Amino acid sequence: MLKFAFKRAAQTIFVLFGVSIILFLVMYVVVPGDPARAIAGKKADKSTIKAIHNKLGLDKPLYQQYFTYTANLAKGDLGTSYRYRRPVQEMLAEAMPATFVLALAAIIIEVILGVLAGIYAYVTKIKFIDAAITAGSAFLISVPVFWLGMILQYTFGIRLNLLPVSGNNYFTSLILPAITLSAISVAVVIRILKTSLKENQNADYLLVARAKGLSESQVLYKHQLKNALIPTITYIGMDFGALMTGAVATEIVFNWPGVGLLIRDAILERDIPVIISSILVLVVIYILFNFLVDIAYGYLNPKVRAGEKVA
Amino acid sequence: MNILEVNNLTIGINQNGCQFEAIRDLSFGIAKAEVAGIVGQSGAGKTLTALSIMRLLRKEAFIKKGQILYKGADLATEDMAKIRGSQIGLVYQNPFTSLNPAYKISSQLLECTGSVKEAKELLELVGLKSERIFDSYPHELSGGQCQRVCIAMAIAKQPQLLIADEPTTGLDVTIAAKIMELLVGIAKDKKISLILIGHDLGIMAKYCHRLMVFYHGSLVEEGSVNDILDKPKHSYTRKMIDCLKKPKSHYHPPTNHQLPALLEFKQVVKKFPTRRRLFRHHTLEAVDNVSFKLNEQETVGLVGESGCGKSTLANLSLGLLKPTSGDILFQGQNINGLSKEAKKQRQIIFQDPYSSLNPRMKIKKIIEEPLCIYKVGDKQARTKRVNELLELVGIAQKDAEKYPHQFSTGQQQRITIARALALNPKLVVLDEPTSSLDTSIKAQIINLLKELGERFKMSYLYISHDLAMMPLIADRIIVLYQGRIVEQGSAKDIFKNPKHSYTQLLIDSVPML
Repeated sequence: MLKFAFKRAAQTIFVLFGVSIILFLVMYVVVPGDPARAIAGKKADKSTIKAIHNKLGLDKPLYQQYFTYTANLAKGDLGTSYRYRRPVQEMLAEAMPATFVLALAAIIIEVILGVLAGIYAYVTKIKFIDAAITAGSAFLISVPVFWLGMILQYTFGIRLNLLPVSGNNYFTSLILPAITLSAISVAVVIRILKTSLKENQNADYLLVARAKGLSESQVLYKHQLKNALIPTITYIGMDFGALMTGAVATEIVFNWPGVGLLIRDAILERDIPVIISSILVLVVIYILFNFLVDIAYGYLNPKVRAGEKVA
Repeated sequence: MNILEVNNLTIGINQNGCQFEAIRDLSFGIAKAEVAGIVGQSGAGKTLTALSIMRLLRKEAFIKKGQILYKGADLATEDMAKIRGSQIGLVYQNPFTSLNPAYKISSQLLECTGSVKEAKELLELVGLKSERIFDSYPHELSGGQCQRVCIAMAIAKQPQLLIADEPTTGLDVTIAAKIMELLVGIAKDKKISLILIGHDLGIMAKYCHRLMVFYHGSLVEEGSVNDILDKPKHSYTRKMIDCLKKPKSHYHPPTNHQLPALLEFKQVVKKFPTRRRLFRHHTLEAVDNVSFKLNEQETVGLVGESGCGKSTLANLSLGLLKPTSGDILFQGQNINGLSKEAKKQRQIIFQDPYSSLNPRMKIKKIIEEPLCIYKVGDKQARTKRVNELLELVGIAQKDAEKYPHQFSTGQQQRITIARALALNPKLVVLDEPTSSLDTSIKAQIINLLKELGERFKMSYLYISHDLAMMPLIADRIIVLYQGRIVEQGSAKDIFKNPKHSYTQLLIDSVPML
């Protein structure tokens, strides 16, 4: 267990190096534009730009900038925003709770709606409902998030005037972005759960359970569901990391003040330390959740817990 | 009055849009407190009969006509939830898959009994130590223990009829015998009627009062055990009885032992790491100080229960595993430094033919593959060789374009034999080649292997837990117990005067008439 955690941590550091190098190259070499221009404005003269370069350390060679950045990172310093001259960790600490709340809300919707609809699609004898749920989930998987977000804003916010279209003021303003963010996940959960229920419907232990005299609902909810839920819960767990990192589009559409919006603004202002550090933090979160899922998996599947290979 | 009455039962199956009858006009009765056996090869409709009594047929199967009466009441109109478990119990085929892997034994037992006390008593009754088993998950138990738990669940609500559908499939012979004794003992004590389903006539004859022989969905013969064994009427029954009688009288004549050793194990030890803790490494000695020789053109039989190291030995002799210590020599050379040419000389045939054939490859390709890997001949020569091999194993050449699933299990095993022979090997490891086959087909495959072995001067390392088949093919038998060789000698010696108590136990478990 400890060994596993160490191994994961080592892998994470390796990944972070790779990601940070790529980000550095992309931000400073590939993407055009000068951060100093973004700060000083288009009309600034050369000496001002030079002074800013000097101040931010942009006049040094790129590899030196990279080493400075990683050395600070190793000390836990995520850098300072070019634009606001504030530590990036402070800005992230302000934005992170909003993203977390949004992802959590999306997960709750995913669990409740996805699991219920998945079971219902499997159980129902009405072919039309099953087909509708399947088609609906295919639709949700295929539509772009921002399009869905805007349609929801237009329908519930503007037409029906039921819910706020943006902001982070009340509980109600959470509903539309959470639905938007969870849409794909709900659809995937429905499909995974329905498929795994179907896959184990012919399992011997279900036949034996029926032979013991258990009712159909006992067989389904006790014996069939727990085994079918294993892949579903694995997906949901990994999805939490994905939702936190994937909330960018949703946050932009709904103007939700989370990490996604922070990154968007930073990109517009060429505030490179904010961009790179935020993305690295999201990478860490993503990896961390994957790690937690691997551990949780053992508690669902007793065979894994014993440290055995699963046949 | 009979407790169960099956009248003119016909079961249809829908498959890929067409319908066929898997069971036709089946009628039989089960008396109170009797042990009735249903025997037949796989596909004869034994399991379908059991499931139709429980009303647990899979979706594609349905009762076309006929009725099943339990204590005079038609089960079609009864509330089955009240009958299953409390009136009719079921012990199902595979003990490993019969228990839900996600729940502890306690939780699964308590579904059948009211109290923890009762549940623990049941475990004691089926011969398990209740404290440890109660809090275990199914994967922590052995197959025999799992099946004991299943039996406990089946009898928990004190049913009057118990159906045991091949309750010992996948279990070792010694454990299988214990499970059968347990079942029959419980039936006798509690005066339960028992329907035992199996494909092994020898075992069935030992435990049942009355036998019913199923063949292709019909009941072809019915009567007391003695009647059936002494005066079998149907040709299939006769064939089964012949298969069982053989081991006693026909020993395989020992071959010339002057030939040089092909494979030699010298004090081989193989350890596997099991649980790892921070500072200690636990190891399991799968093979412990094993030395033996396999001469050219000789067949050595390796018997022992599962977990005794048989498969490890097989893998070691093919070089798939490296020994922890000791040497393995093939044609006098250490097995680790063999040339490509020498590697060609060793092949293996596995237990389950279907899973050892790639389902997406035509059998022509499957047999040709080893030839392609070793770049033997051009395309034309290879095709010729494939046809030759097919003929050797008794498969029509026109079937070369078919896929594995289009063949029966016996034919599939013939295909794997053809593939193993493709490169003209000297040594073929047979890893339980007949354990997934029906009794009558078993003998055919063994005969085929024997014939081919003599014709092409091959040596076999024949691995099995089934001692009954050994004398038919093996020159010598090695008995393996917990990773060690406890006894070796000619087949005749082993059967006539077994020295080790474990060998005696194995021989006692062999059903022979």
